[in-house]
Amino acid sequence: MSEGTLIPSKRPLDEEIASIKAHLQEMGEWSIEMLTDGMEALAQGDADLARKVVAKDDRLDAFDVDIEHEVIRVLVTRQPAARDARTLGACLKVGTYLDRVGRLGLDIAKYVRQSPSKDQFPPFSLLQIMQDQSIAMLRVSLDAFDRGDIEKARAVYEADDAVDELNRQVIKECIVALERDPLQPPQIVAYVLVSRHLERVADNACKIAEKTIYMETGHRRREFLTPDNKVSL
Amino acid sequence: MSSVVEFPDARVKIRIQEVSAYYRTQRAIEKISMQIPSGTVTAIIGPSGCGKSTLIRCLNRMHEVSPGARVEGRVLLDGEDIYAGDPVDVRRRVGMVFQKANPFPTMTIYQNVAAGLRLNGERHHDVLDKAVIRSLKQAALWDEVKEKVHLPGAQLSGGQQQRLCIARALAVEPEVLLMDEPCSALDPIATAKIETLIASLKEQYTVVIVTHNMQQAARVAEYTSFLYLGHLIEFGKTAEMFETPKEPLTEQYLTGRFG
Repeated sequence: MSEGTLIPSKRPLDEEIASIKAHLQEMGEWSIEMLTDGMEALAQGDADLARKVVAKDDRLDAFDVDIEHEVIRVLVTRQPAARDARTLGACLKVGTYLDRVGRLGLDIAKYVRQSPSKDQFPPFSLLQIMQDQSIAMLRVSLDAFDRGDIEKARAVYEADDAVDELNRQVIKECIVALERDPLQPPQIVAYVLVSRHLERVADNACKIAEKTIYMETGHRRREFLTPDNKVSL
Repeated sequence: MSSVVEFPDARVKIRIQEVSAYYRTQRAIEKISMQIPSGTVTAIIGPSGCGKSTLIRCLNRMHEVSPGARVEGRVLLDGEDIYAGDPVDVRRRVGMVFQKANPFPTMTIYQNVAAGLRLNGERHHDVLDKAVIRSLKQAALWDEVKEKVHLPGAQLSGGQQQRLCIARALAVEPEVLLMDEPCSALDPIATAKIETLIASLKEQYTVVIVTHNMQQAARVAEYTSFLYLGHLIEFGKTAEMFETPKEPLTEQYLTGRFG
């Protein structure tokens, strides 16, 4: 009876998956840059920078299309199963999440015309904290995805509550500001939306963490996420 | 370590209980226990030499035909031990299609399909005619051969010959159809036809297919068992096994880390 032939060396599929993951990391940096620049344009009221963010959308689209193309090609040629199939499925989804993050940055940049400068609006510091936290979550989730690190993925979920709380705080402060100055509603609404966008960035980081856990364990969100948004594995 | 799903008694067509099979002193499979659910397609996969063909041949007593071969354990067909009765009766109830299409070379298409019935003593032409037409239709071959059923079966293409063999197996109205790598010698178009046929057969038959082609198992089978070195490593729903195998060995095999 044959014992089967062990194939210890790296498979071509390993290299193809590594290439797609590297491409996703690159896309992640691009999306984060769009988000950071969008927030900077908003903070400085810099319409030129806002236009540059809008111009970055084409490259974001190209990342999305290229990654989808790469994944489909590998699916067709390698017909992967088990962890390989889960990884490639996760890559497709992570590409979509990163596309959304970049677009959120783009939407934030478009609020430049409607917003007063940050000096006129105290809650802007809260938005900057949200920005830092959501980008940190995104970076950790991308690292977790790249390494298949479940503990890092778990940490991303644990950080999400703080961003949700900041979002609630911003909304409260905006309501107070509206009561104080009822003539500024468009600007205030813009801040509420920006806060919501940053909260969505953190949600997308959680989605990437979710796909990391799926890729590593095969468990879906409903199987590992408790009602209070904690990872139970 | 193994992970094996079980079914309610009413769903079980074949119950394999601690089956070991030997070629003289060499053990090919060891204490395999699993249940084949009725009206489904079950695939058996694993690397070369893992015992998958041996296992399938234990299900209709073909294994014991090999010189020096013997079987331990029990195989129950609808609760009856197939090793307690007449092997010819077992093989009528459990048909088999082999890797290489093997139509009887001197017989016509019609004679090939009718051979089993004639062997069982059926002589009425109208009964034979109906059985041949029904079987050729079930095997998705009728439309291609209805004008030439009296030509030699060996004149058909490879894919058609394999469907002829399936028609021949179906003519005696078995309850179970065993298929041992039925597409390994066929091109992709012929393979697709056989796979479509397998999907339609499960409405009436319980099908067990041995395949070295994992994607074929994924395409045609609702349940899959993975064998390694004569042991059953995992048996479960195909979609679940191919997405999230429970056993590390299954994972390694499905991802091509050995084979």
